[in-house]
Amino acid sequence: MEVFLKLPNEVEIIQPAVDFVYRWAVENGLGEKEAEEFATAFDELITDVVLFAFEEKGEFSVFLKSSLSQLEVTVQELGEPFDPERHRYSVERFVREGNFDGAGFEIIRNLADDFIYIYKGRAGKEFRIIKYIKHRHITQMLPEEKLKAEPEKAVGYQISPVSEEDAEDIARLIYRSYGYTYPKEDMYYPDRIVKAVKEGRKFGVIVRTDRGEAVGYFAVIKMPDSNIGEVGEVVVSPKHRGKGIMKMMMKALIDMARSKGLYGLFGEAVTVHTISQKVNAKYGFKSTALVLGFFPYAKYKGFEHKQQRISVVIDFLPLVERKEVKVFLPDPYKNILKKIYRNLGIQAVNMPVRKQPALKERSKIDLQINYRFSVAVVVVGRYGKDFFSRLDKKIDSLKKKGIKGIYIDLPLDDPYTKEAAEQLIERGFIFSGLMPLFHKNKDHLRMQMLTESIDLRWVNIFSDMAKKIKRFISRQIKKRS
Amino acid sequence: MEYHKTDQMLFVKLKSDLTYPSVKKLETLVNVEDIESLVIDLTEAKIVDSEGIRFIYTVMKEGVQITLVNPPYIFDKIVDILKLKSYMKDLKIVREERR
Repeated sequence: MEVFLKLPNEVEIIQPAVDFVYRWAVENGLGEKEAEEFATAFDELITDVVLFAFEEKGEFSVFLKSSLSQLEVTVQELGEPFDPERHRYSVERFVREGNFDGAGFEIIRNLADDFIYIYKGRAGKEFRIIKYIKHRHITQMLPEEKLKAEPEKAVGYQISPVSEEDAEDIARLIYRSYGYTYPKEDMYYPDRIVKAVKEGRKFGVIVRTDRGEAVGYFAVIKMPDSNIGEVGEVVVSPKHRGKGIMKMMMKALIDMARSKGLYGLFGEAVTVHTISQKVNAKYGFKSTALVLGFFPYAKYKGFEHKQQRISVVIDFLPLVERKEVKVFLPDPYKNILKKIYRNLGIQAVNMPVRKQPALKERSKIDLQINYRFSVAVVVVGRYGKDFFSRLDKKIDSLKKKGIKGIYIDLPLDDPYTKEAAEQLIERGFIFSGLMPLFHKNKDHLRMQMLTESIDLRWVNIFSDMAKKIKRFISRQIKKRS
Repeated sequence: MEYHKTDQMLFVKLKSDLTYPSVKKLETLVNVEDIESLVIDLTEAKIVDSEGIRFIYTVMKEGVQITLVNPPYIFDKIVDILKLKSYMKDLKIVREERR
């Protein structure tokens, strides 16, 4: 659940705002102690904003966002410039001089699991406080021998839609099949699976043997800002592979997605091996992008691969027919984008820009940060005159925070994307690919910037289209270096 | 906030958190009243922040004996974070059953 509040910088607002954030944190999965910590960090931040951010009356915004594993509160304000790094607390200074400067930020840094500060120039300042939700890992719930017990071969299998009651079996299945190497950590926590199913964030199928043991699971995670879903979670128990379970599940899942009215499905197939890419291709998915270093390094059992961040191929399956799209393709990418569209069965009409559009004052930019994976996706909703100044500051803050991969999604229905992409190239971004219907049901161009280099020789690709994209990216990297 | 004074002791029962808004009220009270000891009942407070800690430390330094009744869990944690434990040895803490 997401909440947006606009608050005046008045002392009287502090207590009710903190009360609300505390209750919201408890309702969204934090234990009472963690909620107290989260609310205290928030209190420190808004007290500082109320007392010091403005010379006169002002307003600040609060965004509350919860996911399966974490809560995030973002405070934005247009007050005077301020850098928390320059205000470090010292107990000696406090005791000696009574100077308590930096105490609030010291508390925030200690109580939050992550704290990020972004100075956005004329667009103000942004502070984010993140707290992880503590759930019980499947290994804390069941003994090792029970977790590892592999169901024996079966005569028949039954498939059914996933319900909340299946959560523990799914977590066991993931652990049994992948050990600790499955990249989506939420899958090891039955409570998070329950929450996701209950809130409708995902739907899927589970396959059981005729003795009722779970041996297969496949789910679609719905995108929060678009009517498409990710075929993001899949597992088949090792002894039951090669029995057509995967096929059964994929067919059921595509049918479910159609019946729910989704416009498309996509997969983020890792490039440590090509197995997932081959499965996607078999079911009609088409490669549209190569996202470099999207996941942190993890060892994949049975595969030789380099110790570097893991790249993914975006494979997309359209569920509604689009014969033609009118888009604004940046010159350096127009040919490759047309090829990607054609591969999806879509004719891309590249619209000319005769006159540069008049930009509004303020841009609409959404920043999605995954702290665990050290990546951030910047989604452009609308270009404004402040676009590059805000973007540069965001990038600067993200780099300082140690974010390894920065990706930016530009709307292809906006004529300014042609200009924006060229300026992003100058700033060090390179091509990633097409993200069909990814935000607000619109196609986006994804560009990427990595702070660590990726050895493309270890990025394994299956489809012809993905190979073309990889070659295109490789040429760009060489050109840059 | 409820409060009453007996001899030189001021007893305050907070109906909110011990944060900036309540600290401002407490400072006014302490400045007006001539006291030797201050008891703050925090049974209904869920958080204490840096402003609350600064207030307690400052008042103690001025020679007032402070007793906290039922401080929330976060209190000890904040004192630890700010490395003030050794400077607040004279602080009395009474723990009763919290609501």
